Amino acid sequence: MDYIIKTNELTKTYKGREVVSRVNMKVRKGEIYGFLGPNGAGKTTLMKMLTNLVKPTSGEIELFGEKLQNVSYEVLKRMGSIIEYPAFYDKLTARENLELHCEYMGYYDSKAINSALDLVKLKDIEHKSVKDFSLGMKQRLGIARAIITKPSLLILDEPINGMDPVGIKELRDLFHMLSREYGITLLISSHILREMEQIADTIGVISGGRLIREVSMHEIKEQNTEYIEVVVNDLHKAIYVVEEVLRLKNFKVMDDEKLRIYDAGVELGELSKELILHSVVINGMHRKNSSLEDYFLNLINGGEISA
Amino acid sequence: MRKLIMLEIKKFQLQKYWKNVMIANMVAFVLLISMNFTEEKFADYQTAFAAVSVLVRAIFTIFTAVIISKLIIDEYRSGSIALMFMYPIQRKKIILSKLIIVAGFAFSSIFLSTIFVDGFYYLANSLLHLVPGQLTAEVIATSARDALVIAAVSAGISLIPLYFGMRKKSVPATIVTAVILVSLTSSTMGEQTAFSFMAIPTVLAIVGFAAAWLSFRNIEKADI
Repeated sequence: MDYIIKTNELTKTYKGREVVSRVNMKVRKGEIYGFLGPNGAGKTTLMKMLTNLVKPTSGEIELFGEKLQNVSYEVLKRMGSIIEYPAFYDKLTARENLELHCEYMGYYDSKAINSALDLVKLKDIEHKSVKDFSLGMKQRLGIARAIITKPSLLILDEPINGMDPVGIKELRDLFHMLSREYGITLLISSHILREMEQIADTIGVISGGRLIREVSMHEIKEQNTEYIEVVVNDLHKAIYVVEEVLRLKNFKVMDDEKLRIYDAGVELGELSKELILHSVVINGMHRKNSSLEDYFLNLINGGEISA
Repeated sequence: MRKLIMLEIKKFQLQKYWKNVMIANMVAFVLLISMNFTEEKFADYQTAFAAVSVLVRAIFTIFTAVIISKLIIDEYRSGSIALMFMYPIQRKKIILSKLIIVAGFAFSSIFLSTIFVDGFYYLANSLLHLVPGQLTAEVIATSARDALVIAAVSAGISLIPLYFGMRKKSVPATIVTAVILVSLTSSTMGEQTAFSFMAIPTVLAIVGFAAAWLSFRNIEKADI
């Protein structure tokens, strides 16, 4: 079984409006898959369909190689999830909430609750009812609840919402550990790019209900290397200098006065000296790190225009 | 199913509700005694017990609406129903376990409270001599039988507010429907209430079960 989640032309329409539109996504076993997209892009609806809460208008979902149907209840045993926000029975304590969860899941392991609470670093909460928890604590408790039954697939909707930077770091480590050590497949959504970049192995960019691109982080990082951009008055001369004098091969002409050099190890000083020596006027020069942010913003904006 | 029912009780700490039930019974009892000091005194045990029946039914129909709000409407409002529906348990079983609790509460609270308040009234009467006459075996038998029938139909009627509450997932709609139902079925026309003709409450009870069925008939396919 290669893919834990696979959808085929998955579509959901609410009152004539397509909230999720013909999505074909594939999540590999053991990877961390990040759903990236602006608010209202359809991330939550997609996740609700994967957890069988919302029924597709058309298209299909395969979980663990089996088609998801209205009556697919057994598959839910292998999943842990937070959808939208972690809902609890507020008057009960954290432990009581987790105990109830285990009962409903049909999972009986008295040590599981403690180890789950340890993993998410929730302490000193024994006699506190959940209504007194902060959002960050509720997130942690929600994650504890999702992982307590040792699921094969975790679906977490905006899990870092309301967490402080330290908490986010801890969660990131936890997610990596769950993925690498326990072989759990994680599907995580967020609109915060920086976080996705650091957590995910594969990113699915979703905008306007459509999955615009599914791409591995590895690939993106290779594509997005550093470069130097030079703006000159005489492009032909500049190309001569770069090619013949500096012996650089990996460059690209952007327009009639802009040049990008991708070769590693080029010194700005060296480049400008040679250009000036060959009387090329430099109107601008800087080293750029084409950030992932640019990459994704392009994708998302591009997606909106063509939608 | 038994286990699901137990979990629901645990989840909402329903075992604590017996205190509220006792308080409600006390209120009914005090109201009843105070009626003895108005102009319309009870002529005998039979009329007094009839009043108990109306009072208890009114109180616990509304009480049941509160239970419906807690067990069902609030789960939808707080979003915890999504959590419930992500468990490997059929949705209809989860809902059914809740409905059994609701109907069971309505039935047992009305039946037991009627007997309880009747009993207290008898004790109070033996001290205060509020109504004349003896408590005959015949009165006891008919009262017990009536209490059983009324509790049974009331359990059905108590489900009607569920339908109106579920439409917009509204607690006020649930409670208000219960209050309207109570005032319609308890208001007196001469000596008669709607419950004096068994046909009316029986039809209402059927409507109640139909309302519950209508509210959840598509539950397995519904979007949450």
